[in-house]
Amino acid sequence: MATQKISVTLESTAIKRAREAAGPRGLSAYLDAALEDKLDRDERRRSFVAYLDELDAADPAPEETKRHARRRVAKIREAIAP
Amino acid sequence: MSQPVVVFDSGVIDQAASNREFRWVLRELLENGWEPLIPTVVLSEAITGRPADAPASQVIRRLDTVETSQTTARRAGHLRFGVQRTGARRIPSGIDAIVAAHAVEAEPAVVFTTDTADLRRLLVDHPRVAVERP
Repeated sequence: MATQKISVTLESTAIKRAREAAGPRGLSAYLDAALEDKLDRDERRRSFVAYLDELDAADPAPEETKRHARRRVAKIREAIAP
Repeated sequence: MSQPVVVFDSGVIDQAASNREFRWVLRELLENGWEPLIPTVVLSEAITGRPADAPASQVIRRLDTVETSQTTARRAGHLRFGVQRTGARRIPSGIDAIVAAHAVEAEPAVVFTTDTADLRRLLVDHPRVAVERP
């Protein structure tokens, strides 16, 4: 697989933890695997949102239901805020 | 900083497909970067082997599931014992404790469950994990 050297800025604590976790595999291989994993998860999430759109097209939620859902999400965010 | 996580308990997986309001709640969260997480063990309660499993199976096929590591299972034991120690008459199930442990490891998180009482008791010391009905 072709590789490319890039410059990125990461949190110091995260770099320290990643170096420790990577061990003999090396930091690059560890970050490469983490990036692949994150890309897969993002792809699954997007695919699921598209699925929710399909379901909503077949069985649309009334505007009031959507508003209520948004209010609930705002409360969840508020509840877990640091 | 890690992304906040949406953890699914067994009773809500099919509702991600069938409950219109829950679909919009999930949509709002996932579009804003929250990551969905279905612990594999909840399938033991969510799946029956009957055709009625179809909505849950569709959701699981798209989101996949996450295995429970020994570390997470041990954390589940601690959380469950924490409830037991309070002298509660009803002790949450091991699966509920595993769901709670996955949420704790992903903090901040929201757990969607039909059994909010047990999950709240397990997560009483974790204010950055919300417990909600679907």
